[in-house]
Amino acid sequence: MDNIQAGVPIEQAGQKNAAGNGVVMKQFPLVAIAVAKNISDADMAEFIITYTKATHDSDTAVLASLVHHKFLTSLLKTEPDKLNKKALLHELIRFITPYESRFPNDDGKISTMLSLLSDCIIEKTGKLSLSDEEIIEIFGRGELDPNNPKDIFRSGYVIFTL
Amino acid sequence: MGAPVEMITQQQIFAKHGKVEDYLPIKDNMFFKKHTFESDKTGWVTDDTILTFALIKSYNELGKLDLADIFKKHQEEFEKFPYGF
Repeated sequence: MDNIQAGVPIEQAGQKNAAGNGVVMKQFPLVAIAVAKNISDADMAEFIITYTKATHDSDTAVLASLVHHKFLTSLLKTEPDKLNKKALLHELIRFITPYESRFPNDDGKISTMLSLLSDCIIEKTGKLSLSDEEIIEIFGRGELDPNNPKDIFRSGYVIFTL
Repeated sequence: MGAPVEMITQQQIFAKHGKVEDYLPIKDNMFFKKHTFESDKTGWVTDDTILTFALIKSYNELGKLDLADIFKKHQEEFEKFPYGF
């Protein structure tokens, strides 16, 4: 915000390596607009990339914003009783994989994490076989470092968001 | 439940707050506890909610997604928010 106020172009204003949840927390209106106006995932993705980099200039944040958008639009378009979590996760993997080449983050591949999560869904019931604590144990939460509180923003970020 | 339970698990929420049936004071949130709040009123929202409203306000006014206007409204909210971002 200080950078934007100082006149730095929006697409260059974001904090380098920032990967907090600020963008995904304010993303739902974009999802509602995309669904209501039938804006394609590809078109909305380019907007979301700039929207994210304006405040959170990191590959991890961009990928998280993109997968979060796809996740929410898919949920909004799907009748609850027709929701297939495993299929949805595979849809997210197909969607995000090309972007992982464009934004090669170093916090672990989101497609790999989504695949791991998919493997933990019980086929018969469609329910996740993991408790919250087990999710954190497997995917990592990140702990608060008193000397560097931002450490919590790293590991497990996307899984926590989802 | 919002900010007071952000980034803690279901089990941790229950251990700390019991059954949550209403808004909780925001001041205990790990990202906000450094701020001094004027009162213990419940129902406080975070910077994320305020910026979400800024995006909606921009779209409602213009009828389209305009990055420059969205961040102009982000900026306006940023300047009004008393607790920092």
